[in-house]
Amino acid sequence: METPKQSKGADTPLLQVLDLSIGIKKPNLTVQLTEGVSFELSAGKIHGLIGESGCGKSISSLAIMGMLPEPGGTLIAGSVRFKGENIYQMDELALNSLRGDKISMIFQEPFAAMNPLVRVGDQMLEIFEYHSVDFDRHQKIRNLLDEVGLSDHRRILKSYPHELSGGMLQRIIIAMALLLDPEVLIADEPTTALDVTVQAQIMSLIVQLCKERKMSVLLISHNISLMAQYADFISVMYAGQIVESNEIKAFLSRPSHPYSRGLMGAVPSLDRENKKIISIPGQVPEPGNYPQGCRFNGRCVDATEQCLNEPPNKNLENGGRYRCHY
Amino acid sequence: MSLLKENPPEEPIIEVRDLETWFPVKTGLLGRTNYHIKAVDQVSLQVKPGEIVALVGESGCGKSTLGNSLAGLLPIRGGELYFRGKSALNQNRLQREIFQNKVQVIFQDPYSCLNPKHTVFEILSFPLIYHKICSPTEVRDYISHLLEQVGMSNEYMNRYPHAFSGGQRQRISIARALGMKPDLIICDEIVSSLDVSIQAQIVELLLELRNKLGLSLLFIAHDLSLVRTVSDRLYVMYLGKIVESGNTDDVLMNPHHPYTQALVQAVPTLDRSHPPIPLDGEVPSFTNMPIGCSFQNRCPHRSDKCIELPGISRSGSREIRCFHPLTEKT
Repeated sequence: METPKQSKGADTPLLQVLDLSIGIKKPNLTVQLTEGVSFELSAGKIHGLIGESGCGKSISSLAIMGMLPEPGGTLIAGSVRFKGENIYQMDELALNSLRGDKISMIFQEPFAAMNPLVRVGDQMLEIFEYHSVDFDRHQKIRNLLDEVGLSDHRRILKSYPHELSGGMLQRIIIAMALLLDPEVLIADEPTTALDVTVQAQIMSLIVQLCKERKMSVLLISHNISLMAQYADFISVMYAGQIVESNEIKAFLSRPSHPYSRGLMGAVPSLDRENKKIISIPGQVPEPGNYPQGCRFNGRCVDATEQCLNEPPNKNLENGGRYRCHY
Repeated sequence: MSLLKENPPEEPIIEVRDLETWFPVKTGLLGRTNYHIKAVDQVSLQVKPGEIVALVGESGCGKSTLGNSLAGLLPIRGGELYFRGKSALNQNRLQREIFQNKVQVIFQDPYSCLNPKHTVFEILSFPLIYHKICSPTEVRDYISHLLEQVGMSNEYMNRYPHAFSGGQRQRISIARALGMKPDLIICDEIVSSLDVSIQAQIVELLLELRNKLGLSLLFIAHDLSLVRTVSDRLYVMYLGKIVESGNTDDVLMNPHHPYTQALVQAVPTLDRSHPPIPLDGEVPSFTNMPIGCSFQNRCPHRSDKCIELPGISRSGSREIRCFHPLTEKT
């Protein structure tokens, strides 16, 4: 996929991921996990990244933070540019001040992301040991707890993680991610472990914070309804590639890639008249074992000779892109 | 080998009346039981032959406890439990074993419910041999038949669980449950840890098995849109009590209980013009339950009356536990 077009006018995107290819080095070969992943995040917008497990969503998000898994994680090609600067050419010190400070992350499982032996308040303060700041730390923590809708500061800061509910912990994790006023927030499946009612609370909180702070959010999820509700742009990932990316409204009204259509058909819905769901046959191919040509050819009902040989790549007239011959 | 059973059509496979499951709360140095929390409180529920019944609610509301109580995995404190019209409480060990074989459970996490040290063949054969479902000479044939039913090749028989993906492991769990020739399978959040496209495959498999074998399923889930696709009837649970029940489409399209309505409205849809409406507040903890209607602290329609416990009111097949049922579709 070619380099995405520069946005019009002066506003260069906050964060650009360009042709990112990541692999894992094994003793005698390198298994390629993602290939040519490109997208960009702009301020005040939510960019959705959707795909099944093992398709390379999370590894791409880790690569944005310069946190490829050790040992073996390697950058094969491409770059991640934060305000035009390639983070893979920064030294460790500069990178450390970027992580947490400018780019911050919320993880999927709130109970796993917190240390069970340390009080919540101490865990929040810990961040400041590595990042020097000039504001009142305790005041900042209290302000942020207010912002995420937790008002009982004294009790919460003195609690251990197990004493709080999943929704409260996820709010605390969001507050922690915002402690250093980041410009980019990566939310990796932020609500998967939570109930729908709590999911709606957390998502409206993320949207509100994104708009108020002009923050740019990368929302990673496998729930297409969630994307439909909250994302501004969407990229669909399949087997290490972005197979379709577009503005959300255009995408929903007319998904171009058969995998995108498959995803939409596989999602049960409360509002649709026809309540039958259609599954996509087969399984996601393993990394290192991707088929020739179009990577979806083994599961696609319309696959032809051409799909088996040539990797597809197309542009849509409305600025979207997709990888399919048809 | 046919697994199909003939039943008189109307007699429920399983029926509970005013079921209660309590857990002791122990405090102090001596671990004295201080009080009990009622994880399942006055629950009445029935599953008819060939029916898929869903049980929904937020986490911590007692769905799984109810499921485990029905399967005989937890001691029941009060109420009545009938299996095919006969009381399943106070049975002797043999009767109990028969009952437990006929009611199988599939658990949520496909990674922890298969023993990593045993091959698929061993996992599937142990219960068959222990309960003498088939003779040792027939086990291999029976297992390959089971694997075929869940859409897996019998080459997989000698592999270990780690070689399989989440969806495949869930198929193995389904095969294990089917092996006991059950009448009812309790599916406790069996697809919530799977990807959507795999979820759809497993759901299709369950529907197919229901049609082929005439199984009844109790489908415990928190994903309402999935429940709508799968189930015929629906029970909505909140803090240990059933607050609403009825035909799935009726309940979800036109909820009468404010809690059901809040649940429905919180689900994101593909339609951006209907954004999800979050429900304020958190589920109160069981140790600190409100007196009267348990939903009163989050309910937009609360009145003074709600400090008393609302009884169950019926209209047609719908049952609801609320003083202020919603009548108009909003």
